[in-house]
Amino acid sequence: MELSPVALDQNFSGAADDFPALLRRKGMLSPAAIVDPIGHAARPNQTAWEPTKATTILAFKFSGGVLVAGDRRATSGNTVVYDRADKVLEIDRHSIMAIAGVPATAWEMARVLEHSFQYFRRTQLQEMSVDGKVRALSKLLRDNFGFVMQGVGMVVPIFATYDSNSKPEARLYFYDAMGAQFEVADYAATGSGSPAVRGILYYENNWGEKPLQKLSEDEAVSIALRSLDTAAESDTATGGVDRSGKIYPLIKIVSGEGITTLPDRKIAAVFKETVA
Amino acid sequence: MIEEPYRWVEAIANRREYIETQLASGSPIAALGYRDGVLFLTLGGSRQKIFEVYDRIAMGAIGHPGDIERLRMAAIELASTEGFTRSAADVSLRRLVHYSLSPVMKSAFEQVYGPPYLARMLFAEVGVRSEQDLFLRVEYDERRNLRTSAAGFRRSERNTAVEGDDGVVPQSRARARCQLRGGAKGRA
Repeated sequence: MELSPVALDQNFSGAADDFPALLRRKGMLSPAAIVDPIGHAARPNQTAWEPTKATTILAFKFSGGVLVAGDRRATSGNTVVYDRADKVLEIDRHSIMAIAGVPATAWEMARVLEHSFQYFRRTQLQEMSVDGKVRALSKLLRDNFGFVMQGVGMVVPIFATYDSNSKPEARLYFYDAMGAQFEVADYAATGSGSPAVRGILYYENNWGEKPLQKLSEDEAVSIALRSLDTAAESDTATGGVDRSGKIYPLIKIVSGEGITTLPDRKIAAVFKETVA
Repeated sequence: MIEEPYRWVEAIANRREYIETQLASGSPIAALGYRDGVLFLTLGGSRQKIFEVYDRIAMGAIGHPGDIERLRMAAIELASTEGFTRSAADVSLRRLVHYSLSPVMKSAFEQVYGPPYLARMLFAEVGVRSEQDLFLRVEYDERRNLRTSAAGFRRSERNTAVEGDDGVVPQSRARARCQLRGGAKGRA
């Protein structure tokens, strides 16, 4: 018998699946990958493909919320394939996911996440809590871990959002590839250029003119640009600032009012004044 | 019973009468297109009657809460999976109602041994321009009613003055008569 396009469940309990579960029920999302423990061991002579996290993503809290910045370079091995990649993605009006890792998986994850939040709001008639959102991303990463073990699809994101509940504040998290989430007090960086960035942010936060949380917007943008430029200096996979092509990093700010994408002209002005 | 055509017609008529009685006390709901989107209005706030379905689609419904809930979930699931696999622009109210919800409501209504949906629904879709706004009223027996500027229903089915292709009800008057409950879908 052909099923109706709307399989209305007469015993509907009111408890909705989460969005990934809905997609799986309809066969629109592959099931969580299964970890293959002998995958690589069976092919000892073959070099395992190294999952690259070739990028630099950083985020830190400053006086106006959380600043999230990412370079624009996308690479495949030694080749630069794209110089205008968007790695800082808006998930909803107050949440940003910044990605280091395999773009195909990362963008798909961002799409699932975006729809998950909306689906929850529409079905449950309330906004998902910040903890719920943070867990949702963690779950996606965990479901993807089987692919990571097989050497494809590693994603290591940063998640920044604004919690407008009883104690309104900006919240910042980074993840590992297995889905563990870590909330940070001041800053996070991920991707191949992140060691340099972490050094700079640690230094600025402790011995700079003022701690990161006290920076004005211009000062924060300046530090973000300097950090990415430093990362690009030694890491070929990080684009930094393309001075001749006038391609600047993507910078977004999350605050109580929502997300602001800084226009290129503003970034260019700060760059000219304090970095170039 | 349904082997005899006359009995079937009688059963349907009884069923219609029963549902109409059940729905008679429901609050009026109106949807009006205006420059920036679509405004949904209803009376009384004891129970939520206006819901978001998707980026550009909202619905208002009266009837049995359980039935409304199942139809609402079905609409959201369909719109969400369509919007996810393709894009938000590919989610269409016309298709959602005509090809997905209506057939289900029709068969539930006409299979006289099963329960029908006790619901009267009003869907609206925000168009790119206000001329493209779409209003769809869907009855428990899947009768549909398509409008392009405003639509609604009042306490009695026979008295549906709040609708028309030329937007009979000026927004100011509608507002004066109804307390604003619910929301508006904005033009992106």
